[in-house]
Amino acid sequence: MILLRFRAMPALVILVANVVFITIAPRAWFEILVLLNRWLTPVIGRALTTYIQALLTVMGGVAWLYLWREGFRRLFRRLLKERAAGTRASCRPRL
Amino acid sequence: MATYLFTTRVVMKRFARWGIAGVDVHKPGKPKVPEMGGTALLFGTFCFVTVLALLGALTGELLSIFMAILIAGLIGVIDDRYTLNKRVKPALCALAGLPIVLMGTYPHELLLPLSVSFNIPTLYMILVPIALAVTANAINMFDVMNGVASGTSLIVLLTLVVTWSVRFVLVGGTDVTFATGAALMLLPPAVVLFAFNRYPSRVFLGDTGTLALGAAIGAFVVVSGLEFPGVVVMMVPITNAFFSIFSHGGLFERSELKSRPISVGDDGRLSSNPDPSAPLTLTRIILLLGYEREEEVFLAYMQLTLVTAILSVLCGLLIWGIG
Repeated sequence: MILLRFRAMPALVILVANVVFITIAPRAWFEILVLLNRWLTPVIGRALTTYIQALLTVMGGVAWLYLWREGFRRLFRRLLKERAAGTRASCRPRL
Repeated sequence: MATYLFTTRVVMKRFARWGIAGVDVHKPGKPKVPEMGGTALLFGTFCFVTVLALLGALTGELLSIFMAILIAGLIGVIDDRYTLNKRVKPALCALAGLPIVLMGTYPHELLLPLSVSFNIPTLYMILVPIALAVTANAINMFDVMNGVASGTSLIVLLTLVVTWSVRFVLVGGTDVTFATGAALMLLPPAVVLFAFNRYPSRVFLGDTGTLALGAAIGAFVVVSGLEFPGVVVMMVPITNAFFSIFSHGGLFERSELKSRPISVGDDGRLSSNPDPSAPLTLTRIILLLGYEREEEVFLAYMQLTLVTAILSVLCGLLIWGIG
């Protein structure tokens, strides 16, 4: 109940989602890399597999940063719109 | 504790007289407040380390943490007095990691939750200065309002000590003397600085304090091997720094901003600047969520940091409990 009334809830949700992601993602990614290693090494060789793994890891990192930034940016834009329209209860002028 | 209290009082009385003061831009009257309160942290830790050395109890780990604080603090002193270039400052902060690298007081293994570990001694050596530059600058950029940087640093340091204790209970085998010494070296100045810096501030930390506190956090995280819980508990300042930099298109100094992220009304109420060119900071989002007063924003930040602190301890359980 206290959490539901917490005004910074949207920011908190994005923060917690980010923490959950960085907690689970390394393990999940590790499993994917092991699978890639098993499938690709016999076909393209160890060196090329390592290169692809490194490339995918960097791309995954960049995608995570993009999603993290986009989450807050969208929240910010939505809040700005709601403020301009006066549709968010907390943004209405107080008497 | 007495040394920290004494030094902070000297800063409050003398620095204002010497013209070392900053303007509190979020108050209607824009009062002047003594700056460079972080000097107390530098002087206090110096006294603590000296006493430990005289008693023969100074370990390499504690010395490397102190050296990191000292280097970051001195960079802060230069920045407070002469304003360093926006690109030079973060680069210089990386120097704070050198004592840890040179003294070899860093672990060689990076532990992540759910039994993931990397044995990366060479890469770790490169990551140490980067980690210290990130933590120091994240706390520096998080000094947005009265008490936010000092309060956050206090919660972060307390959480790290708790997480270390959790690891000690679950795994054991780590150096109790180091953890006790580090806690005694870092927590009292954080408490004193917060007591004087909280709303309404009687002293500002200045870059001296924020960079030194950030380096203290980074150094403790690295030396004690609490990397992942450290990242989690620092999530709020790191997020703030990340968005400020990305929305502005690079590093910046507050003085060079054409449009400030927040504006202050005559009645002291704060509002988010609707100008799209202003940096997208976490404070702007917090204000758009309905917070209006400086103390409300401070409380919101402390609540968010407390949540990340709880998550950090839980992550510690996932690393050492399951791993």
